[in-house]
Amino acid sequence: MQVKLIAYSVIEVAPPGYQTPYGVAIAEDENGARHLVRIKQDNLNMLKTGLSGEISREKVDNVELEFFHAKK
Amino acid sequence: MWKTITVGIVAYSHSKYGRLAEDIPTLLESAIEGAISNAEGGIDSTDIDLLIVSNVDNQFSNQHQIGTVALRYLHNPQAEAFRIEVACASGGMATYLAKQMIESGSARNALVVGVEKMTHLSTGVTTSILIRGGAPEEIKYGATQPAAYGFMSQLYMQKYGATEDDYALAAVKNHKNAMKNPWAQFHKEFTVEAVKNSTMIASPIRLLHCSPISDGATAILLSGEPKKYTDTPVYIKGMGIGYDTMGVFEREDPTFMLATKIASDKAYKSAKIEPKQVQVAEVHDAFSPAEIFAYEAIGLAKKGEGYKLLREGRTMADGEIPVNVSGGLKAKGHPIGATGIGMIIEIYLQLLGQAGERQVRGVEYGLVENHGGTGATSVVTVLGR
Repeated sequence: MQVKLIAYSVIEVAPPGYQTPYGVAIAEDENGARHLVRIKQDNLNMLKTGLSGEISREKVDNVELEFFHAKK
Repeated sequence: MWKTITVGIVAYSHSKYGRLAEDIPTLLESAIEGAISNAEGGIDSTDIDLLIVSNVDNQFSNQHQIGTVALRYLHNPQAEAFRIEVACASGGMATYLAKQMIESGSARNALVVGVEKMTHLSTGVTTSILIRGGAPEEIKYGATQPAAYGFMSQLYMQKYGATEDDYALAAVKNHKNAMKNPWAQFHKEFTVEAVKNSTMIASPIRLLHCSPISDGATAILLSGEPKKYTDTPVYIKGMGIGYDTMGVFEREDPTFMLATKIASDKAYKSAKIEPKQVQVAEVHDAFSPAEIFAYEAIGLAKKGEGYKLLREGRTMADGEIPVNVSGGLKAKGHPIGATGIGMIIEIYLQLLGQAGERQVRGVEYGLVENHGGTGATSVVTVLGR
């Protein structure tokens, strides 16, 4: 699914069990639907609003999450 | 025959905020006894038939049935007592409920007590508790409260041209104000640069944008016959509650606090006043940018222009509409269950002319904006003489 980031935050202080830093964002798809996503770790240094990318689904601790990764 | 009741505040008690040695039962006992003994004309416990406790998380307190625990200190087993939780808006909501119960005839006099004990927990554990104030999706994705406010703050800067300096100004102002508040957790001033260089918590939210982890207890005594207990009651002129979606990502305009707008519209309407008649306000700056969002939602500024009030110094303690003269949540502290009631106490004292060095001159109306999470629930109160 193609999306664009409309807002993001890189979290440095987190609940126990999270490895910091990690990123969360609001991404908007082509239909205007918003998704709350986690950001792929290797994308943390390239974040900017409007960044285009794709969403994929991954399991983290048996919970399925949507992850954003920028277009290469 | 139907009789209109105007609920008044007749007494209060307020602990210092910060790291306190007392446990939850002791804080409750002090708050309850303090408020009862503060009633100018005296009040017997048996005349208090409702006791509502605002307390957010039992992991903080390690105590269930906290309303019933509080009843022990009221010494009136005939009273009805219970706890209420709406995240950071708990204090405001407890007050709203007590007011409604008095107006409906379900109670005559109500003690509203707020208490929270947080400082014994680590920052990480506290963060894991506070994230529960967000939407289920935010919890699932690990979007902490600072991160959710971070979304709002980033979008607001992009949309309206506000800067990190503007967010820092709110923190700087409130730390300056707290210097005059003996109950405040912090008595230390910061510069804009210090705020902007403080540790990043969840971009763009930094440590010195965040209200602290605090202990504290507050109480107000509400009455449907306030003149019976004091010659100088402060009346709840208007009150409203409002709701928005739980998640920031779900909101049509994540930069605007719709719930607060809905709540303040109701409060102004029932008080029969306009926003321009408010002379002092306490708003919920759990994270500094939220103070700016609140200015717009309660009608002190147009959409997208709230940050200009700070730039122009108009909400400073000596400005035309002082906001958070108490130091706000940022510097006074934020013992969550106690906070909303503590904010009401600040405006109560301002209206009585008893706010000491913080006193704003000639106050006829004051407003309190107390919201939960990132603003999914909001309670707005207009107080007057």
